[in-house]
Amino acid sequence: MRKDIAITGMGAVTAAGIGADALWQAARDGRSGIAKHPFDWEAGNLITQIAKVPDFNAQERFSRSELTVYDPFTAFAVVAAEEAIAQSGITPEQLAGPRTACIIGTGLGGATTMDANLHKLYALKEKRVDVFSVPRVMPNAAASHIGMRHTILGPSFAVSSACSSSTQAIGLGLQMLRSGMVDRAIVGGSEAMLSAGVMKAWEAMRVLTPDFIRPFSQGRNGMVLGEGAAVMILERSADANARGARPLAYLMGYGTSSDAKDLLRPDPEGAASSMRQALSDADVLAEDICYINAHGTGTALNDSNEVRAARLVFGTHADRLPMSSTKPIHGHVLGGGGAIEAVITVCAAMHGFLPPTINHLEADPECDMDCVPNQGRAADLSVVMSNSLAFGGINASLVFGRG
Amino acid sequence: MTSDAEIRNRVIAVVTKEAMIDAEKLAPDALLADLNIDSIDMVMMLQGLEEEFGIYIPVEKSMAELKTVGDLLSFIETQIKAKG
Repeated sequence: MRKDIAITGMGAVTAAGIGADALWQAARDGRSGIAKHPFDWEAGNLITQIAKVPDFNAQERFSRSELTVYDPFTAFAVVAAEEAIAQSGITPEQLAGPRTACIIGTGLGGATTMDANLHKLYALKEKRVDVFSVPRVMPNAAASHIGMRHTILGPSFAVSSACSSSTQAIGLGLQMLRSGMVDRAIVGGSEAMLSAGVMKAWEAMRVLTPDFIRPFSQGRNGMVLGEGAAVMILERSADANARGARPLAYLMGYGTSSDAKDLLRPDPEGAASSMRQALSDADVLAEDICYINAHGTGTALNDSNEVRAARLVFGTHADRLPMSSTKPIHGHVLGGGGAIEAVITVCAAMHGFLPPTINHLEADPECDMDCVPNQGRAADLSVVMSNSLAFGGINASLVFGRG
Repeated sequence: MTSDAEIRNRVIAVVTKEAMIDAEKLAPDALLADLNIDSIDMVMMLQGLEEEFGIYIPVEKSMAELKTVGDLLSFIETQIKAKG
């Protein structure tokens, strides 16, 4: 059991509100943040239900000059990072400098800025685009702005691997700490893509449900998209102990793999390989895992694939292993999703409680694991896992240990 | 009221266009696999059906069980009747 890397701070901005606590409470209680919202302009959207961040009030949080250059995906990441840094208790002096990394995953980066600009240019025939479109849109904008606010001089970049982006970002932070490349890592992910044109593109994929997201259930017919960000502070456990900080949990292991088969159709062998690597990296046995926070999108293909993959890895232990999806709570946040679900997974271990898969109607024989249907429950969770399985066949898994 | 025959003709027109299949190959017992109709063709068809009939059909679990052209056409027609 490797407990060499500690998580000492967490922050989140999600459909559950501002803060990791708000996210955990919603996940624990099975309270969904999904609702129908009108988009800013008409694009013939058939699907308008989304998991939107409520009451973010960017104008009150940021200066005019910051708002000029912050796409919403950057703004969400900055707020999540501030919360995580504050909780860690790391001083500004300790955080600043070349020994801190900042890695923020995102799938589509500044998609909202891009969509709004194209609308202005092509539909409204406006002559002026957003002057700072380019630095707002670039996927590394969130990492760069967090870095500038805190004088982070070490490695800073975005990971972009669709739904696995922030899980890989967290995993890279772990590896940088273990290699000795840095002493602290600000890691996580962010996504803000709920604009009319981007939603229209998702509609065309036919993966959005017109009614309810029901992971692992009979009658499931798709996902609901969400927005938000989550950030974690990682440091070596020895360093955390030396400065008197109490780890919230340990980041024990990371695994990642690529299916290299089909762009959209997932492969159980690929997902299984990612989970096995994470177990091996964490130096734990399959039987040690007490809970999995699933990718669990609620699409026809993902959920049965994920259960098949878990059965390949966990064998008969899968009969006793709860694996729930919290996506009906916070939506599918693409590049921010892995980090948001990692925060929930850590909270589940901290609080000894299994968050439920809500909207569940009836068991699907192809998803024959305990998905904690509709009602959460207390459980002793010493070692837990979170999975992200992305379009493009990119899989990533993290293993956490209770603090 | 649109007749079943008219709906079928419009559905076949969408399937032939989006999956790029000759209409004469769409025998009811022809296997989708033999016609090389894959998941990408299915998503293209669902887009074409939205434009033709104004209905949103998500990819759902039962679609994986469609084996023949007849299965596909009756699945689509059921969706059109339920949502149209």
